[in-house]
Amino acid sequence: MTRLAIVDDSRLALGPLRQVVETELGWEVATATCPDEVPALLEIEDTFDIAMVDLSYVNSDLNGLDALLTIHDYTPTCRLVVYTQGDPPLAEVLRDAWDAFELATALSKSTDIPLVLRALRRVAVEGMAPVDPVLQPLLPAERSRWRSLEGYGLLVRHAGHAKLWRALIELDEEPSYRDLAAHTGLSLSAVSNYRSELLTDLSLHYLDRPRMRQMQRFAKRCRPLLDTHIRRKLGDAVA
Amino acid sequence: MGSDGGRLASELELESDLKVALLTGAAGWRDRDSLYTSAELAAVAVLVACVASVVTVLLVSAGLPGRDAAIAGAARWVVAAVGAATLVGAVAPSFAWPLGWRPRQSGPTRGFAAVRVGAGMLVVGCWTALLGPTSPAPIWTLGAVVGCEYTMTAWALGIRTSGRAWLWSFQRSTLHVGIWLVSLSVAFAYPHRAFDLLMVPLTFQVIALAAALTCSSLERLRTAIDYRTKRVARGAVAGAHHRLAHWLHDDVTTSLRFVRLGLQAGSITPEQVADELDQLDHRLRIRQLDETLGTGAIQLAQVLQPYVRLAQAHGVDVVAVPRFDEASTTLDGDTGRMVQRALSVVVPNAIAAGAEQLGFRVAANGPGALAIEVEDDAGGFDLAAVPAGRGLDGLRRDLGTGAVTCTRTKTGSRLRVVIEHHEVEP
Repeated sequence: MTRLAIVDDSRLALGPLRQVVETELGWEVATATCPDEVPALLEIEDTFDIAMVDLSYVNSDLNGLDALLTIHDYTPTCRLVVYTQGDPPLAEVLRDAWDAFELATALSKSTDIPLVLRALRRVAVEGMAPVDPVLQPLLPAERSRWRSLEGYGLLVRHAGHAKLWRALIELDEEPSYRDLAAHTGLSLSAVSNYRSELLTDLSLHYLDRPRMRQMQRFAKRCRPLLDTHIRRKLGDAVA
Repeated sequence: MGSDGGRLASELELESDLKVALLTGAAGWRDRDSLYTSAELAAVAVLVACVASVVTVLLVSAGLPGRDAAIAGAARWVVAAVGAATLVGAVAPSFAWPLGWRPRQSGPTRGFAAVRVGAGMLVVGCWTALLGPTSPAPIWTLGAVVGCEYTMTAWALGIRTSGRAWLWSFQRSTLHVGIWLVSLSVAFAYPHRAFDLLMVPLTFQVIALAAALTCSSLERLRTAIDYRTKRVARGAVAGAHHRLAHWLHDDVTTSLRFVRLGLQAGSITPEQVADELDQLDHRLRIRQLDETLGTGAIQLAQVLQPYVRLAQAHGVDVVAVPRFDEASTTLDGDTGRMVQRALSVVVPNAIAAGAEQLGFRVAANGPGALAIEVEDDAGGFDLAAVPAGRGLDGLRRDLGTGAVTCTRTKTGSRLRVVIEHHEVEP
């Protein structure tokens, strides 16, 4: 029997969709209402064949990328499906997820449930399904290898970059050079030079010479994808 | 305790690092494509005026006899030219930045800071050599240049300046102590020139005081501009909230009340309820789009999205949508509204005509124009036979007759709308 994990905080996914998947597809379904609950869900339920993940959560500081990464790390064979409204504010996160993970498909919540079931069935049988037309224009035809999980390592080439990214993630508002220097313990010139080094690489992430505010938004949004590399580099630096 | 000690050491290190950073000038800390704020532009204007004053004083004094000055004759012109060129060179990045000349590639260095300090000392030296005992009085103009540069650099680094703190910092600095020690030592050695020698520390005091006053004035100006900007922004946000509240009442709550009353009276069927909710959903999506259009820039994908959803909600199979590279084109607000207008006519028409499949395509139509195509399988129609007053007729009148064309296909029609397009920076 196919086992489906739904990670979503919407009534639509937790109620009608779950019910229909169980009754019409005969699948076993387990749910988590936010990414924070995913580790516990995986501990209890062990493995899933397909995971259907929303991208934004009002009741959590974590986002869909956290949930996708946790599931991917725990069960690399699990087929990942993004289930989202696909509204403009989430378009960038959707693109990040698309490039970083081998998504089986992306489905819009405005799509009728029979079409969602058809896509899920196809994922179970063929391993993937066409992306929902509502979301298709938001996604590039080919995934960029620079934006894969490993590709994010290019943005964290040494401990200095790691400290800079961590400060951008942890500081609340658009930080100044002085805030960044105080937070990282780096000199002002070092902060400026590390930032300059990263500007070129950020063009691979659709950011053309971003301002500090844009760079911080990117850092906060892609925190789960950067964090592994940050921890690795800071661990290396300590060692 | 150890942690506190470490933090203190780190802060002290930062403070020393900060002093070096403040000497490098604002341009070294700015993003290459960043624009100056109103306060920064005002600071640049003051800087330009003060630099012009210093250069004028240097050149005019070079032509005067220079009684009691250290140098005379043609050498005065050379010293004036060196002083003027050094000053202009040292502050050139601050002038050049607003004009688009931005040579910076990497962060500024201690060496760069040392060059600028050296340049400052050279200008003071030239000034003193030319003006002799009268040099301290007009040198406040050079102090104002220092104040402008310091303030702009501090702002670029994210620091609010304080004139008083600047003055106090200068008084405690090793530079200031060194100036006094050297002047007093030389004055003891040459007592007959003691008065002239004591003019040197006095000159630096005037520079420091003028710089501090300039810092305070520019900081006050920035506070006033920030306050005014925030007040205007608060007003705009309040206005938007009022409009939104009004719209929520007029459109959303009224529609829901209509459905509820209809259900209570038994006058509408569940299908009609579903239809009403679908229409409300579409209106909410359009409203969402309007809000984004109001920001002045929008991606084509965002304009298309509600109409793809609308087609899907009516059971239409969407067989083609623009690719990511086509749909990620950023449009200005007016173009976005026109694309929305075209889609709001074409898509409902196709649905009403009974289309079962729809395809959306986008293509560049020469420079400065965008072609939107919607292909359906609803049997086709004759564009020339569209009665006056209908949506398509209005669209043709607004865009020009040639801008809207219709091609018959095997199963329906392909409507092409060409819209003027000015791509904007995302």
